[in-house]
Amino acid sequence: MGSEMMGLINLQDSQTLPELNEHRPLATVPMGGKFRLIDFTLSNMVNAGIGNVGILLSSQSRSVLDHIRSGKEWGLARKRDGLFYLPADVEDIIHPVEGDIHSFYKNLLFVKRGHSPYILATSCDLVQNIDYEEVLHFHRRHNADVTMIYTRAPKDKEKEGYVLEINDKDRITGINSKAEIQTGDNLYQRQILIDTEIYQHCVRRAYAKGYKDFITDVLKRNVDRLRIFGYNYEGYVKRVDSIQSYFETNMDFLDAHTWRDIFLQDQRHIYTKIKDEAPAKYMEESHVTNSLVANGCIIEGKVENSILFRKVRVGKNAVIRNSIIMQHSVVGADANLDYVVCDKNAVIQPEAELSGTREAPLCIGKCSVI
Amino acid sequence: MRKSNCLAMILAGGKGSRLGVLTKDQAKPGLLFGGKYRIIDFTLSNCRHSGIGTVGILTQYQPLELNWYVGNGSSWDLDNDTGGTFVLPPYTNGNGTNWYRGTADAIYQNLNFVDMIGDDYVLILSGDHIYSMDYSKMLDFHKKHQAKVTIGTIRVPWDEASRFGIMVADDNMRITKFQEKPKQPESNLASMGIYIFDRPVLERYLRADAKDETSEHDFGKNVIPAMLKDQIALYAYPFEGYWKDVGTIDSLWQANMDLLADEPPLDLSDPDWRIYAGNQSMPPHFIGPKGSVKSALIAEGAAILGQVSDSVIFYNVTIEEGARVTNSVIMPGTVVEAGAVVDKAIIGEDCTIHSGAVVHKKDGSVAVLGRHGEVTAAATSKGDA
Repeated sequence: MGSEMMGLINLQDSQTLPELNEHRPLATVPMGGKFRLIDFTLSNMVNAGIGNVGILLSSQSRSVLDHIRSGKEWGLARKRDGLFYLPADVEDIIHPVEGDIHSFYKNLLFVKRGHSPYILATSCDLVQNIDYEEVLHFHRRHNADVTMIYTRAPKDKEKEGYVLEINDKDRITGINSKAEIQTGDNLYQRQILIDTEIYQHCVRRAYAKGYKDFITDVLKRNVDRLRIFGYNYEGYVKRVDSIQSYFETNMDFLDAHTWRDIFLQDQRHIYTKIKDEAPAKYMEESHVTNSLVANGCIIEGKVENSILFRKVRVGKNAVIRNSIIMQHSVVGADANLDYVVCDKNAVIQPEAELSGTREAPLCIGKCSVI
Repeated sequence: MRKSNCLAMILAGGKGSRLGVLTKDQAKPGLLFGGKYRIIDFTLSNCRHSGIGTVGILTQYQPLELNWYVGNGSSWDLDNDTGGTFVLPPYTNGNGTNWYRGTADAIYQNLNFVDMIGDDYVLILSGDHIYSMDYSKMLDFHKKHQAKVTIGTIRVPWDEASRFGIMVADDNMRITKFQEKPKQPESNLASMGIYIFDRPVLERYLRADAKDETSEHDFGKNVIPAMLKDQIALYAYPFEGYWKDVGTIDSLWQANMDLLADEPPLDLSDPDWRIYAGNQSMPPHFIGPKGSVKSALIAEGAAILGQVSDSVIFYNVTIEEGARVTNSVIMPGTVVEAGAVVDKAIIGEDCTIHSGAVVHKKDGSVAVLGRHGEVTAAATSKGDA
């Protein structure tokens, strides 16, 4: 079954979280108790029937390859099409080239061989469960060349982003880079659907002219010449680009509605690497409220407003509040944690007292012993 | 890839009639267990970890769901180019379809498959036991003793020995006598229904057994006694560990409760012997602001907004706020509504326990509700819950 869309996920242009990214790119930052950030984008694509996905790898790709492997868990290990890793050239790693045009150009062959009339090009840092087929219908209904997905900004943000000017027929008339986003702005969500022919043509031309960035140098410049439309996505979406937004997005899952909207859509599951852990085990003394708990956990202590990844152990009388504890970490007996983000395989010694704040959660590094 | 030279044949046609509504529309090996597993997962995972390359699964009774679940065996890492997983329903030939007449007949009817694979050893397994066992050790034992047949055995308490097929063996573990459910057992070495045969011996005896019209075509009752009579080299392999044949509602309930012990007799989280299962791609489970969980096993995708204790909760179960579940097993997709109470029960898949309903048997036995069942508050007051 061929889909009319192919996917292109760019791992090269995302922000990093220095607090957590020491050993991995943003794409494989653990999210929501058992997932990695890229699982959301990858799952949304395959749930829309996309069977051909290219991943533009960044220089740190070991954890991406280890996590996705053949793409089997997403149904992408196929004889035809399937998953394609598109690594960066060594010279581009040594002397990084600004913008995305350069790597789009270098990987035009992937797009050409895909034979799909449309390309869905996205970043990897969005947490959402979006129906891309609906975006395709929108794209066709408007006879668009390009569809940019946006949301109405719910609140003022200090962060920069692209704000779209859109007329009453959904047509985009202006693309503006703004340093501060205000409530109600049409905030571009870093995903476009584009006709493959137009994509190839634009990338070639832009590369020849020495342009760097697809949004500013191609779409913004040609906002009058190309038929660019804006698709207003009204569901839940969060972009992870800082330790604060990372923490907030995880905590959002503690709302039962958000948890259901993202993870328990009838036909649209979020897939991840399978680990075959046993169901979580709660001991006699455990006391857990308002938390997300993955398989393989063994809990003897108290857990409140927190997220426990796979195979976390919580010792007797330990108290964990408002924290994210990643896979294989051990929290010793009588330890006390509040606003802590604990990376993989960390060991918190018995009776340790650790606390951060909502704005600046205390981050414990991978494999550290505290 | 190197082949193991040992073909596994799993008998998965068991009807499990003593399990009542739970096996009404599926075979016993497909029965759900331990929050995320089906019973056959244990045997399939054992095959994978023991290095078995080819697995034949013989289905018969209500096979559809089991066939769908097992698929090509990829969930158990048993899909590969040199062997793989084969579901074997009753075979149709020129004389029509023959329903399997017994365990031995099931293998007999698939002898052409056994030939086609051509492995020197054939491991016969049952798909409805809960245990972790390394069959490669049993195969080593078989080779070391130059046995023609090795029977997997386990020591059972003497007072229970009369419920089993009992082996009497010499110091070398060579079997000298076989007693089927003896009143006066001479040994407490019980057969687990697991056999390793040299293929030529298996074929010879199955062909002879098929011709015998007085035979019940059962390994324990007919084939093994015939071999013993002919002084074939039969050995008993002593297995040590947890092994459970969940034949009844009570034993199914108890086996689930066994998992809640601080040090459970069967370790589901052994990193070197993981129990694989068909994947459900569920998110971590959610414990609500007023939820409370004590002594329980909870699978992914469940939402616990009420109280749970001493229970096993499968994926995708919802326990609403104010509901109370104790000493129970709740299977996937079931909703226990606000204010409902469930105690000492096994609730099947996709059931609804409505607000105000109480599921509990006054006589202390285990209450059971089959798939898609419903219990309302009105039914409770009439006392038939």
